[in-house]
Amino acid sequence: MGEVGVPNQEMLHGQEVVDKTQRRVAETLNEQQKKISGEVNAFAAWRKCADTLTTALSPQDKKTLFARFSGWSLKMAGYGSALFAKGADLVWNTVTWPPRFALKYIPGGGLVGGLFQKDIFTKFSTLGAKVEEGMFRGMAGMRRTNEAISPEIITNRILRTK
Amino acid sequence: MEEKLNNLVQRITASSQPDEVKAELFDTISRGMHALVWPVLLKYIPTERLKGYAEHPETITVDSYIDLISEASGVQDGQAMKDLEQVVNTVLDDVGKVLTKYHIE
Repeated sequence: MGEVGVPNQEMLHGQEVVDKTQRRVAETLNEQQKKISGEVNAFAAWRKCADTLTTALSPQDKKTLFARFSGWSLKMAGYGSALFAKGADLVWNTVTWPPRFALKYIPGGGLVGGLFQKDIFTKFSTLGAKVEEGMFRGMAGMRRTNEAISPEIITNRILRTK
Repeated sequence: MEEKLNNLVQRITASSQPDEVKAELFDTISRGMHALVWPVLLKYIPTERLKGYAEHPETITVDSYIDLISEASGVQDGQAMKDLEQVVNTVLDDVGKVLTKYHIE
């Protein structure tokens, strides 16, 4: 019988894999961020533009935006929008990487991934929170739901091992 | 990129690691890939126009925002996308090396 409170070897091993993986990802992210260190103001400006849009868009504007970004996400590497629907509101989001990959391969994303294959992006704004919950649950390995992924959250999480 | 990612996911899924560890690995890969996009894309965004919009946010529209991002990702024969794919591939390769080190084949 193992000692109470002492993690078994497999758990220790697993956490080590996770830590090293996070560190490697963080290193690459750091390298890329250094390359744009002179563009910090540009990043702030871009955020301001996007924030302005999130509060100013009409329902029709939202549909237009989603429709336009859907094409991006479905082509090649896709880089998508930065805006996802959450209920009636738009949530500012840095999810610019192809949802179809995340949803296709990440556990929990199967259902939504399947819907994406049917070009769900064009219907995204009307599906709202339910879709978003499934998407984020999928991308987060079924552990988090309804979490808007802001640049700060991503950066802090990725860099937390630094 | 898709092939590399698929390979990693298969290796992690088939491993004997606890589900929490698998979830954490998927989470790390997913978030890392997301986080890498904007640093790459920002290098190609027309800075002056962006600053102009930020100084006068009342002038930004859906179309102008779309144009801004489209230009950033499409200029120079899609160099931004090539850069992005290269960076993401680098991360996926790095993650693969870590998995190999821990015999997650």
